[in-house]
Amino acid sequence: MKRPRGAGKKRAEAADRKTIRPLRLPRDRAFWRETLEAYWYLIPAFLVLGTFVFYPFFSAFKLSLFKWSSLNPPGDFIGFENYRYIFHDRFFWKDLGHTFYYVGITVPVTLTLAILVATLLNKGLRLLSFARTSFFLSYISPIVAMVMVWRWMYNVDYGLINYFLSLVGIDAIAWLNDPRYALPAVIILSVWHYVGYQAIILLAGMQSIEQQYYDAAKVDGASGFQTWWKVTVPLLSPQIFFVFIISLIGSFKVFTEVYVLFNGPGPLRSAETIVYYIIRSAGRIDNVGNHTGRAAAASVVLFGIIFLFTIIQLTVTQKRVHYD
Amino acid sequence: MLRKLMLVGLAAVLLFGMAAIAQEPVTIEFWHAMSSGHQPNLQKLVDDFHAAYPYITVTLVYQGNYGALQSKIDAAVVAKNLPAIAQVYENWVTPIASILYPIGNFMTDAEKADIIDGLVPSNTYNGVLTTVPFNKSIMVLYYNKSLVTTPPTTWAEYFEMSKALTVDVDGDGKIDRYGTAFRPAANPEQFLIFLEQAGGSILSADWKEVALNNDAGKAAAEFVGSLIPYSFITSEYMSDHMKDAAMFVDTSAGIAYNVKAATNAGFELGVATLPAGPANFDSMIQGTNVAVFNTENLTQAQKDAAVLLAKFLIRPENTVFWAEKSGYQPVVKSAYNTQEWLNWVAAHDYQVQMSEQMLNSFSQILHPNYGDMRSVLSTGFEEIMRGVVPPLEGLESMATEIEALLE
Amino acid sequence: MADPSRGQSLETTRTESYYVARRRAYKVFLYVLMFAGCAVMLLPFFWMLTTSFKTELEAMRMPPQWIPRTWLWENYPVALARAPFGRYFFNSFFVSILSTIGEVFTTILAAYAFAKMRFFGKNFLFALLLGTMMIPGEMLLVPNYVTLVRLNWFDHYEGLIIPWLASVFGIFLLRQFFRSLPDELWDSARIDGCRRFRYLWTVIVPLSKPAILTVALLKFLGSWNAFQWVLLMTNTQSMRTIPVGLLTFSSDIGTEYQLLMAASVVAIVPILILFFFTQKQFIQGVARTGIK
Repeated sequence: MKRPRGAGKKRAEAADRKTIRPLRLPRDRAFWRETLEAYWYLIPAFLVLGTFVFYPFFSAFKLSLFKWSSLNPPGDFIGFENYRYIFHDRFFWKDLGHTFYYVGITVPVTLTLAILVATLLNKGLRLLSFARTSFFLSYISPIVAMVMVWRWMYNVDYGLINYFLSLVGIDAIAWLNDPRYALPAVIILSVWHYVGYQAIILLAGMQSIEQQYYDAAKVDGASGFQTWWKVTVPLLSPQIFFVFIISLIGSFKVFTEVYVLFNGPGPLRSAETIVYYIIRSAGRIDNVGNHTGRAAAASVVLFGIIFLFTIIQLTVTQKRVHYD
Repeated sequence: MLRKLMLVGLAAVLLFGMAAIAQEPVTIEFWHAMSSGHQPNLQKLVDDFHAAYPYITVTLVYQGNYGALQSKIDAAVVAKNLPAIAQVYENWVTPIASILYPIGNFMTDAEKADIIDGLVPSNTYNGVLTTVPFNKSIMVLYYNKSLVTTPPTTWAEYFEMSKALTVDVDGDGKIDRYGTAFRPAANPEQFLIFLEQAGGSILSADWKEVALNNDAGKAAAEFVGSLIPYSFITSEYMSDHMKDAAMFVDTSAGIAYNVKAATNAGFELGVATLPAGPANFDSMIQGTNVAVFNTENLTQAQKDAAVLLAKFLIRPENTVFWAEKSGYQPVVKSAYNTQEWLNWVAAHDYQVQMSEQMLNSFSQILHPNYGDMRSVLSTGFEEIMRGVVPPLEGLESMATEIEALLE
Repeated sequence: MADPSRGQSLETTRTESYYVARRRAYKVFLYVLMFAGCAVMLLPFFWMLTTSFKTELEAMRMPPQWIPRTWLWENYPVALARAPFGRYFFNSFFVSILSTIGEVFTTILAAYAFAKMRFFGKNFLFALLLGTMMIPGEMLLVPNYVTLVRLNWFDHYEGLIIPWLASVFGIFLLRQFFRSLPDELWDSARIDGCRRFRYLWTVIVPLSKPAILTVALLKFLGSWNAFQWVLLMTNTQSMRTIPVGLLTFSSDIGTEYQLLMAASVVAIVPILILFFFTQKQFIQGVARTGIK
């Protein structure tokens, strides 16, 4: 199923060409009949998505141009005033910074750990089932429950984390009360939460790598590490890419972990993320003013960032991902 | 004789008939955010109300926490299906004051005058008493009785005692216990208290100018600034940090949690009124009011019923019952003189101070942008107390940001 | 044993057993690593479970009390009594099951169309689908609330189920899987006069059971754990689900951690049971989402 770059590829391509379908079929009546039929198939899903995703999505763009407060929609039309406001708001930029910091660490760290965990689990050790379950558990549990436990574990006086740190001679850290450690606290929690899920996906990918590539590597005299680096990881690249994209998009939207962990945005608002800014602007939390228009503007910007990153990802990794 | 009897009988029938017609059954919804511990008590008040007004049915609708309740109310404003009556914070309704149904118009002057003075301005819109207070708590001074024999009564004493009580017990260079504590981000009201006690205010009386950075404001900022080295700063509840400070300003509603935490930590907790500043020793009352809405989806009968419920809730005996069960404070002055409350105070001596503080109090201004102002104060106060900016500079930037909110 | 006649010197033997020992040590090391990893992952659960049986004081002890001295089973009924958990359970099951069934239905249809059919606007519509994955849900909350109210689905089961009857992720997943099925099947079925719709349900679906099961399980999981939507789109307690019920414990002033842990355990248990019985499918299915 998977073939690495190399001599075999040309032969494979030639074989494919015999069964390759032509690129463009004529658009005859059969085509249009099939179109009609296909649309029937799509209607249920698209009806739901249309009503609850597309329509409100465009609604939000419209929202961002108004002095919309949830008490008085749509309010006055104010053009790009909301955007002007948020671009001048130092916390908008701070929160973007926090979010990028969070994404910049969580995504690579989780992914790296996941690759290592998958490698470990792929070693053919016994009790694989037990190990897999342990890693997967954090992903399937309701996030609210998980964060509550971690909040308790991060407690400066009674928490497990500081207890373990004390065992190795490190002083207690005020995870939830020190602006320097608030975001790291969220990062650690997130890594723990998602590493299992990512590892499972990567493990499956690893297990589907055919033995012949390992044999070939061994014949070439590759060491364990070389095999891993030059065979396993590249062959795993579709899965790595997939996990990376999902992780990236999801991380930009981080909010619940912050809100439940700190019951707020963290000390000195150091863990405030862009989604937190959006929800806070909308007046939903923290008992502050109600500026849904501003929230909509910020969410449009967020969408733009995610979109941009996804496009970049897609183009950059197009070359580096090895499909067959 | 018979004719007289018949006439009387007819009159009676007519009267009862009219009463029956006038009192057609009406149902209203009361939206609230009282958590499971409080709900049985709220239900009891509602049941008593049902007994007093049999034709009215009140449906209690628990909306979740305050954030959820606010969301629901906002959405209901848009969707035009507000309940007849709801628990509200001031900021939630100042922008929509026009759809509030003024409860004060159905109260006697005596009833209106009975409301705690400090609460009247925050329930008065355009000179009319519109909402009534519901569950209110007030900031008082909690202190560790083993460390503090007599609580401070002036700012100067407060400062001196905080300084003396900040100690590094095991000599490792890190302070183990502070004299006092603040929760600046979660509770910017703690700064507003000092502002008020210095005789200052956020805005001028006509709301056209910022008064925050006047002399009074500077005095307050400098005072809290002086306390920084002796203060434990956190965003968490003090009940989780009982051992970290000898005294702290906190809400009266937290008494149960604080007492339990103090007992667990091995000391007895005392309650005192706040130390006095240059002008007074007023404290800030916080909590929700009850508002009746005046929207098209509500019938006049529903609005009337809601007004009756609101007035019922602030009857002295009811506000006393609610206070005793919930840990909030009674909201009318006459309640403090009822035998029931006096008995309660006698059995719970911390109530002496809390009751006294309630009579020396203030609450928030009703500026439509107060929510944003509070956000500015919260961030600014935290930045001062965590040493990010010097106090006077922090004060100036808060004033500048608030000025932008004045339109 | 060394046999010089076969070219094996004594030296070879020593090296051999050296390698064997090294491999064993390596294996042990791997096991240690694996258990350490599992321990780290399971620790919070273990902590949640044991704390749920402690007294309030025990929960706060430092150094931490690993095993509760008294097993306070009462924490559970006390915690559950604080809110109508029976109703929450029913709602969670009802909403999750119906959402799952509905979503599987719409997803199979849409995924098949994208996987196997040719039609006008296919690429455009698919790109549209891709785009939705990037939309932050917070953008959609208020407009959706207004929609639900207008349809009178607010605070009703319809509002909790219908908006979630389509899943872009599910469509991707199934489309991926359907694509891997050979086209020849349809060609021969078509020749036999089979209508496409029937073909889908009688041929494709049975062949796709693992993938469909995965979609269903993931949907159930997501529905069970959802809380932001439920919180904002329901008024009355009788409509709430379990995760929202958990929130009622976090009162404005302080939390009783041991009760919170008990309720959290209860919230997790049904998912664990489901997971236990469908483990292989679940993990395999999730794992295969990455395989093209």
